[in-house]
Amino acid sequence: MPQRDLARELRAARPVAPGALRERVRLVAAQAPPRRRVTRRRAAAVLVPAVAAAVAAAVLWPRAAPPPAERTAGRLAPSIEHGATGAATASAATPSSAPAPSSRRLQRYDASLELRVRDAAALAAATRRALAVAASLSGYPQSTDVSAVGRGGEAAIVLRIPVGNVERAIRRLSALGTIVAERYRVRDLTAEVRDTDRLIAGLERRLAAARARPQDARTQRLEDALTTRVQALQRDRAATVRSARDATVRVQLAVRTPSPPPQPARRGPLHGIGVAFRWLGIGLLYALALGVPPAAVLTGALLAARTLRRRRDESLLSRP
Amino acid sequence: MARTPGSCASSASSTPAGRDRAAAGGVSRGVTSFAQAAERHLDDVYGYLAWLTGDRFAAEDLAAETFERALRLWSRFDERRGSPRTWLCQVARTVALDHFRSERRRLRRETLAAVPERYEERLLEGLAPELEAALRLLTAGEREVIALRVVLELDARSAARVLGISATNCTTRLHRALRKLEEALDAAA
Repeated sequence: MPQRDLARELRAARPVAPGALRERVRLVAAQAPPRRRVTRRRAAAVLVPAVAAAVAAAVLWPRAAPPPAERTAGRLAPSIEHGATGAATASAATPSSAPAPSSRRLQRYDASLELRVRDAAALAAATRRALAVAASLSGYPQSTDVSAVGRGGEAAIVLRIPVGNVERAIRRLSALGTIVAERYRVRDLTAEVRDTDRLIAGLERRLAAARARPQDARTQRLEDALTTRVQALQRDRAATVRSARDATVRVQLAVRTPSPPPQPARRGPLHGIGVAFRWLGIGLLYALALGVPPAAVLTGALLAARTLRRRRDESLLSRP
Repeated sequence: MARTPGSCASSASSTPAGRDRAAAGGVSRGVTSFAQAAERHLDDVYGYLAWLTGDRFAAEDLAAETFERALRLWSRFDERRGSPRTWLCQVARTVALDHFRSERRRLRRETLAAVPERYEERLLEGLAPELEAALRLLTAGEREVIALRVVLELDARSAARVLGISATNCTTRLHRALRKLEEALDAAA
């Protein structure tokens, strides 16, 4: 049968909807179309990305304020470093982050204070006062370096203060000017000294054993070597203990230099537009970096799902 | 064929292309528009489903279900993307695929219990027996493309839209289906 005749015959046998169906559809069509409702799927389509964005923002944006410096008291870790930078008023000069030294353990305590004073006269007065503070607390100046040029000047003072008085010393020294920066370093030496003690004890046992042996040239050499080693270790131990007795406090004094008034930047009439475009670009870059990988994954998943669905449909329609 | 008074049974809407133009060209969106589209394209949807399923009774139920679903989705229909007839055929196809899936599940269950019963009935009224036998040899997919392109006289683009494939692919499918039908008829002769 030619295709044209075939098509004509097929069209001639075109089915017509029965009356019952027509009536049924008419009833359906007479209903008002339902209003769009907020379905679970729609709500999820909005809420899930919003929650994901909020979580991502919370994770990616770190908290602006660092946790406050904890004041260390009593037991200290083997080595602690504290530091702060920024101006503080002299009235609130008590350094908040100065850790307290331990009275029961050997510690090497280093403190560094950077202070600003008003003028050269205040610099001289503060230097004198710092030396007086050290003397009053049974300390001494290890080095003092003062230079004054015109209205400006600076002083670098290194003080050795008994560890028991270092907190008071720091408190008083902090009141000499405006704190610009402060730094504390505490290193525990107890374990180190104990190790040295153990080493010395072992060497002394070996020395005693060597002395108990019959003396000859070799034994004599061994005794000499052990004795030298024990003495060196004892010297080191004594130096370590000495260094732990006094804290080192470095005080840096400088005359406050008036900061020049900020120069108004020369900006053209299109500066605002440039800034706006820059921020837009940054935002776009972030959006691309954060949005492209999930979008690619989502697109791939959707394409895969569509292909799978089509294959299933084809298999459904491949039967007579 | 029963027509309601006032429905567009004019000369312009007597051909499939004319029906598409009339449906796309006129009425405002809403209940009336859907009612008119339903009235105008009921036969097309029913015919398509009858060809696709090969079961007139199932086609009746599926046609009713198609229009119920189409009413729910009517707000999504965009005339710029296709005629109401194409869109309704798309909805009908989705409904038919759902039906095929549930049928397949049912047959699977019944196969486990006993041999499933199959009722052979006439595919379409007015077809020559040898043509009907040849049509029975075609797959649902092949019957579907013949129904859309030959019986409903949809153009290749619209038919491809209904099937979710390219127009070229649609033409190829039609060609193969017709050739298979001719071969079956020749073999029967």
